[in-house]
Amino acid sequence: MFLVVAAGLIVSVVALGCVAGPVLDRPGWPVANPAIAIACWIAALSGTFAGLTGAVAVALLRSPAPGHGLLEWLHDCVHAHRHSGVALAAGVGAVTLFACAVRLARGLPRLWRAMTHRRRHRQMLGLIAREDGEHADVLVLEHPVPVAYCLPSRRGCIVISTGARDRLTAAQLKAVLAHERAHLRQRHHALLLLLDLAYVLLPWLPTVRRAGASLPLLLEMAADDVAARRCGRPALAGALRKLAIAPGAAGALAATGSDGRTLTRRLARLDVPARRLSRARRTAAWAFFTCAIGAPFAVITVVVGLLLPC
Amino acid sequence: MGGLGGPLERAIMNALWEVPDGLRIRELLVKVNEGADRPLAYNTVQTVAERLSRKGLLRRVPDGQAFRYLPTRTRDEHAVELMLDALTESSDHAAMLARFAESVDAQDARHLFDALRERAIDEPGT
Repeated sequence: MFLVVAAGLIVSVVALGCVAGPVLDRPGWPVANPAIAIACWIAALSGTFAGLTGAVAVALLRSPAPGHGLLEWLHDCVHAHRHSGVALAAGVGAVTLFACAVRLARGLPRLWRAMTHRRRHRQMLGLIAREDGEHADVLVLEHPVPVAYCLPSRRGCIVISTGARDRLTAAQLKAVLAHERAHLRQRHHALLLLLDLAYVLLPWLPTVRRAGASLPLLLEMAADDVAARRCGRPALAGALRKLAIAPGAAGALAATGSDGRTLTRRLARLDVPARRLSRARRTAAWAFFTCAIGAPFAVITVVVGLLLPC
Repeated sequence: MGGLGGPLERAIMNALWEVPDGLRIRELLVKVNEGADRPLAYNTVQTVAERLSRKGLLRRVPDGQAFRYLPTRTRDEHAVELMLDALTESSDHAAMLARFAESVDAQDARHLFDALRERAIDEPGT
């Protein structure tokens, strides 16, 4: 039974961690509906991590394995490891756990520095920027370079430079604000932070690596969709041509990088309205979402159920 | 607390940015309290000024028996730093700077060009 569970978990980790990424990254379909694509990426990532956690837990905690009880292990360490497969599984589990711990110990200071940097940025903004008379959540920074970005915090705010404000028409400014508010409302910064954490932990998995490259653009597109629905495509496209909407001082994405052609792709998408996703693809995407999230968790539930009585 | 962006810090920095030579606490107090409905106490202003100088925003120079406080950088310099900060976070900042360079008028472009040339002379090889 345990063998089946462990095999199921490993298969799901391989499927989600190695195969799902390239499949989700196929060009075309995510552009048509970034929201569904984002949901699928999140499902693939959380499924991978859930599966991996489950697999490590099974390897270390199933009844003859060392983690089952430290005292018990100390007592009959030699007896319990008669089966070489058990020792191997426990060893691989421990190594994975150790590797993750090392990565985390290395990556956390960087994440922490990024957070501190962001806090400092916010404080300096409080000192330098002026409040916008019209919108309560907008801060105006006196500078000719046209920039707009959102600053996630308890009371999320949008920063816009005077250069941007002077260049944009009223409709374009509204579109920019709608775009930034969508980022804040949909908590994209939190998603990017989790993504960065995933990258710190498991940079070797293709799904994690590809998510790091694809998700930022998809998040921009999702926010574009909200803004285009509210204020119209021409206004948003015009605004994007005049300024780059920075993803916000999230400070955590330096490790994942980007392809640098994001704006071109976003504009192309706004100029030629994307075809709607076909019904079949929609269904397939949601089926994937359910399986990716559901399978590892279901297996883990089974594992917990089996582990508890012993 | 130790925050920087509070209304007190703002008021004091705003007052000092207007006087590049700096002010003593007593002079600063008068300037900050100009037209305020609830005037600040001397001690409050001194504490906040001290905190700002610890954070590197103000510089303290002896002036007779007291100290004069002056901003370490102008407001514009801080704004530039914040902009650069936001820009380097952007994935597409090269494209955006290119668009900016295209959009400035001839005179601004000349300023920009001069500034870049000076910088190239100051730090060759970068």
